[in-house]
Formats: sequence, structure tokens, C-alpha cells
Amino acid sequence: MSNRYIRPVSFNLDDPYEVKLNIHANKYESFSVYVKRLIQRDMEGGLVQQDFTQHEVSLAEDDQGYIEGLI
Amino acid sequence: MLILGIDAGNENGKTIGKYGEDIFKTALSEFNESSEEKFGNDDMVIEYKGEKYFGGTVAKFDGEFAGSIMGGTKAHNDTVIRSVTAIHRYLIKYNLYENEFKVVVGQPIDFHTEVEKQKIISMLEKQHTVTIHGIKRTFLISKVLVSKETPFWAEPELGLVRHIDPGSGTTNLSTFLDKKFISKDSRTLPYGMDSTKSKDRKAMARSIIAETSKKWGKDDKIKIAGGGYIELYNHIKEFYPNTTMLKPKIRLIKEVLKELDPIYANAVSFYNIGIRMFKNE
Repeated sequence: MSNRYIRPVSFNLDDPYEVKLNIHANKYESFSVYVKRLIQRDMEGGLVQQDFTQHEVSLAEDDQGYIEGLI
Repeated sequence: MLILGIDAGNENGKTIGKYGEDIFKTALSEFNESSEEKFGNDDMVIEYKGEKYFGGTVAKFDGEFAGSIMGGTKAHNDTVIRSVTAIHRYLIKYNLYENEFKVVVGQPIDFHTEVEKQKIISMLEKQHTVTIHGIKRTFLISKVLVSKETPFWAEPELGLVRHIDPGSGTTNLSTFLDKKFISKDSRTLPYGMDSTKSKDRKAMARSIIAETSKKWGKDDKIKIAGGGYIELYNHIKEFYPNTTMLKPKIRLIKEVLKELDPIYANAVSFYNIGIRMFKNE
């Protein structure tokens, strides 16, 4: 047996949102490859919507000092 | 509480908030019954503090003392009427029942002194009742910030950025380096699109270039915005090739991003100052 670490993902079929996720994932031939591609894109910074928002907010905080000179 | 950026210009009032934009003619004149028949779409009968005014296009041409106070400081009564009209219109346009506002308004760069600023704040920071077309609204302006007139915060960026902002009464020139306002490279020219006798735009552009080129480099990054941007853009770009029009974007509720005409750039800048400065209050 090869040295592999298996991580199962369960979808709650009573939850319409998770059902949608599951149907979407079914479009891809290999679920495992699909998930690994998503992880890769996340590592490359393509999927970090939440972090982006936090980044914007922290930038806005820095801005206050600059704005003081205008008002 | 609602945050608004209000650019109460001599020609147009521009308002920006999270629901979107509004624009109206700011000319005011004394009310007379006979003019009511000539009403256009943007004409208004405004009642404020027991006085009745015409607002909008009809006020520009009718009435004995028609028109706007051109140029210079905004610490005068027209600014109060323009600002409360802006808020009233915003409430009606977006069907809102908000009764507390925090606003950011503008003042030409050369007139942005502590004394003028305090005058504007004391005129605006209070409860107002205004009636337009018989619809009466009372609201509190609980906080006022007075920004130097510049569109920088409509599209903030690092590096050296200069702005030409031709209004109807004055033209503001502003410079920022890494988001910091550079006072010595910024000023207010005492003329605008409607204040000069001649409407020769090329001559006006030449005059702006003569003034700016003493300190600004030919290849500097320049953004043009404000009411007069279209007529001046080509003339300015001929001399300063790195000139672009500032088309501001606002983030509306539900995360919708909307691009606006450059005439809104100052109001968007004021609004962006508001959401940064009022968010912890």
C-alpha cells in the first residue's frame, strides 16, 4: 500500500447549500484532483475573498492619518 | 445614521451615499408665484427657516437676484440651503426615513482655514427642517467634516498624483505623494467654467497650464475631474500627456460597484473620507 493520507469530505444532503456544493463538485471527473486544485489556487492567493476584505479594512485604518491633513 | 459626501458646488450639488448618487442645479432665487409655470424637472420650491426659494434651472434665469454666489469660501447661507436640499433630495430619491446624518463637505483649498471651517461646521451641525414641494423633513446633522476640495480619495493611490478640478466658480489644483497632501503644490485658481467672461476653454487650459507648469513636471501623472473636465481634457492632455479622467467608483449596498461620471469625483472622495473617519463613531 502506498503512503497516502486520505481526508474524506461529507456533504449534508438536508442542507440545500451543501447540496448545491456537492452538485457543483460532481461536474469534475476527479473530486480529489478538483479539491487539490482549489487548495493550490488558495495558496497562490486567488481564493482569499475574506482576507481581501480584511486587507481593505486595515488599509482604511492607515488612511485616517493621511486624511487628518485634509480636513 | 447615514454617511453622505456632499459637494455643494456653484453649478451642481452632488451627493454620494451607500444607496447611490444624486445631482441637482444649485442656483437659488427668491420665490415668486409667476415663475412656477415654467418649472422643469429639476426645479424646486424650497422652504427653509421661514423663507421660500426657487431652486434649480428656473432660479438661474428668473427672479431679481437670481444665480449663485460664485467662487471663494463656502461659509455662506447658500451652502446650508444647498446641503439640506441635498439631504432632502437623497431621502426622497432613495425612499429613506433616516433622521441622522454624518456628512463630509468641501471647501476650496485656499479658503480651507480653521476659521472658515468652523463657520461651515457651526452652520451645518444642528437639526434642520426643510420642505421641498410641500414634503417636510426634519433631520439632524450630527457630525460635519470639511475637506479640502480634491478628488484624491475617490481613487487613492501611492506615488505622485496631481489633480485638476475645474468647478464653475474656482479651479482646485491638488498634489499627493504616497497619499499625503502636498500643500506647496496645491492651490485654488480664482476662476472656473462659468466665472470668466470669455468661454474660451483653450485660453482657460493655457492659464491652468501656465500656473501648474511652474512646479509640475510635463510627465507627471495628472487626473482631471469636476464639472468642467470634458471641455478641458484634450487641451490639458496636449501639454501633460499622462492626463486621465478620474471616473470614480462607489461601493453600494450588496457590494455592487458602480462607476460614475467624473463630475462626482469630489463627492465620492468626501464620501470615502466619511466611511474611513466615521466608522468607529
